[in-house]
Amino acid sequence: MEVDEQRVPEDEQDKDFPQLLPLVTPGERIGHVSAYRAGAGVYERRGHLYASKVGEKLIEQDDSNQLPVVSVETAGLSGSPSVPFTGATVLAQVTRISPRRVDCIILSVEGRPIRDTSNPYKGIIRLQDVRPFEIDQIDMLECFRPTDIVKAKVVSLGDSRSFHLSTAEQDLGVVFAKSTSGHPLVALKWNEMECSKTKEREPRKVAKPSD
Amino acid sequence: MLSQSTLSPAERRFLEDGVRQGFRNDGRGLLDYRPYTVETGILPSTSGSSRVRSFGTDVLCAVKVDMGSPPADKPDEGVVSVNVECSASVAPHGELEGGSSSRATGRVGGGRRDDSGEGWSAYLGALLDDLCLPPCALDKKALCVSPHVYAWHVNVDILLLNAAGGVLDAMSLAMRSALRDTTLPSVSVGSRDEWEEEDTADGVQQSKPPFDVDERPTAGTPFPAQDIPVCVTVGQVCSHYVWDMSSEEESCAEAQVTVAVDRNGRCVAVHKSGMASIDPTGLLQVLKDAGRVGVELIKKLEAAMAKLGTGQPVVRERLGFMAA
Amino acid sequence: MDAATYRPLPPDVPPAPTVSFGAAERSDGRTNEDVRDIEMQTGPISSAVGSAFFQIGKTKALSAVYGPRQSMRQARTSSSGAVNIDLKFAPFAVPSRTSMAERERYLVGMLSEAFESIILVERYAKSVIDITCIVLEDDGGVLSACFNAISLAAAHAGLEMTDIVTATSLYCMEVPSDTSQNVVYLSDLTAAEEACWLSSGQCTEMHVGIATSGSSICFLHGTGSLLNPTCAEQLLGRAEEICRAIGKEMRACLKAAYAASQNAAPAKTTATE
Repeated sequence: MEVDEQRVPEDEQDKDFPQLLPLVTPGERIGHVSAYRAGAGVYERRGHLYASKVGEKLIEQDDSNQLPVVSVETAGLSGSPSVPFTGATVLAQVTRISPRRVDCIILSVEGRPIRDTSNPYKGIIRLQDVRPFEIDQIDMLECFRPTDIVKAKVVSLGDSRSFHLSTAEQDLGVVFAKSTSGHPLVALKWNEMECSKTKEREPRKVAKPSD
Repeated sequence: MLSQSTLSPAERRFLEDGVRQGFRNDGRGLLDYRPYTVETGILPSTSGSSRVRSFGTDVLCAVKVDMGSPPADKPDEGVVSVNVECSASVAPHGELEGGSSSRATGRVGGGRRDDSGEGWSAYLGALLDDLCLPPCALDKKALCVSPHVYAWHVNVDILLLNAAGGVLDAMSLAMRSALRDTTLPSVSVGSRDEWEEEDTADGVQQSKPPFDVDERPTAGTPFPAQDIPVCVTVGQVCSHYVWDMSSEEESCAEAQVTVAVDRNGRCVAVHKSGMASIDPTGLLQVLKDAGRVGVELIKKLEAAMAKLGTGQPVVRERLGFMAA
Repeated sequence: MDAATYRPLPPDVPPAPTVSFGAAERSDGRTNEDVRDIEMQTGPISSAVGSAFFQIGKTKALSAVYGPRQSMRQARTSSSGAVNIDLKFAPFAVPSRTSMAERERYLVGMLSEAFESIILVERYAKSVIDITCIVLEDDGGVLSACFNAISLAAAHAGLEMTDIVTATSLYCMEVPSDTSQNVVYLSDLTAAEEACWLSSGQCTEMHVGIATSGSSICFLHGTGSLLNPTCAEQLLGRAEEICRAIGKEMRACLKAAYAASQNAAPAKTTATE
């Protein structure tokens, strides 16, 4: 992986590794609650903010009237393991379809792939979470098929077996699927995809492609 | 360690505010112990037994001695094994949660103890053995009858009938009382020319001298360790140290330190458990106080045991084993 | 016929353990306070999410972290995660082939209690994290070596922890000198020294785990007759020094490993070990 020489400005570099932001390890104090808000990889104790994992210290200012957020970033695969949380955007693969729900396996959380695949996290998309309108007229087989890759959002932690996922937004839904002839499908409309080879059309609940 | 109660945030705040001002929910001061009831000699079929009860915590301890061979690597010592069992009434759904339950059910467990409470009980037994039976309190050489040939195997079985805070303390008190109550029968080992050839199970000829056991309790010798240390557990609640916690206080305690103290107030072992870290200066203060508190506890125990009489079974009307 | 009449001898049979007093040295040439050489390495097991190898003297411990993954037990529905620690002695780790199950269980119980206060389990909802540790060779100080290996592996795996924690084992005993009984403080015993002093009860031992940023004690287990406040203070002070030194090395090791994974070149040509 090539790292751009000037990715990190001079005044923010770590003194041992100039291509990275300052490196922190768990337990190092990185700020005070009066100056920063806690982001990912940070915990607060008695008014001070401490790092909770190994990574680069990143300070982001998103809103001018709020305090900047300090977080510990870990880029790439060496990053910390990801666990689905409420509100996270996940990519999941459909394993089973029933009239009222779709079972799937979660493959990545917020763009980070799940590293341990021995016992993957499971998710279900219930009938009422597929799309926000005309819920009583949904036919599951016209929205998803087994082995489709779906972009969904975690609605809740669900029960002991699976998380509850939802595709009830425009940019959520099937992102990649294979047609009955085995070739990739290309998105046409919100509810239709076309095989790249045979040009046959198949119904799916399609995610709006980002431009 | 084994706390069963879950407190609402308001109850927790009430408890913590009380501790900050130096008193607890049941009116005790931070250093006060609850009264204990100790009974000995309640299981006649064992060599020694005791039962310790205090406001819900109920521990039964039985000591059985067997004659066996000394271990191969230590031929002049006996064997003492401590075994703890938690009854099903202690663990709802048959699963024991290790660690304070104040952090909901998040816990760190050993790989093998995930499935049942067995691993946790085994750990408690090993911990008790380490804390209360160190070499300076118990000389295992005194348990040897004839080096390389015969030695006493002492099995201390502790049954936790009900846990309501202060479990390690109660268990160590029970073990101390039961071992004080134990008498080792007097044994005479036959001389060399009386040895018999004996066929053991795997066909190997092994010669062992015969031995004679005098079962009369008056002929026996008391157990060779009369000063088994007693554990005192202190919990850290909002930077204050609280002694002899009830189960509600245990679920509020961030960390717990258990100190084993002998009759002279000497600390012979220390062990920390719990979710938070403790400060070294606080720990030193705990060690100082532990000596004092432990001595008080042992004095009261000795006084009560003296009233019971030495080794003679107390004859009184028994209402039933589980009756108060 | 005694089955155990042959056993491979270590290449150099060490002399009987002695304690250093005055100008004399311990049997392996160290002073009383010296800790044996330490070597640590992250990432030896590439299939695990995080792994670490820790060696002190000849004692070697290897730890790996798997997860977080979905909990297989259906009964578990909690907003907090669970961490399982498993410890095993390799069959060749100790000279005699005895069953180590009891000792393994005891160590696992103590390590689990210790790491309860360190890993932020509430950030891993509905998940279980498995940490395994294998002792490859036991030459004394196994508990602290495993503790350090697990701590390094967990940090390498990116598990959220409150601090880098390290552990060490310290001992003290009374040694008769010309005038009176003197208390001698020893750091880090080898297996031969442990066999000589610990089992007879002469020695007081204390295993301490310290959170290296704030010097608070996250793990403590001690047995012996010399646990009065004076000796305890000395032991804890020395423990803090040793743990901080190990912690500093661990942090450097973790930062170097992270930088290497990002293919970032170090600032100077001198290698940071």
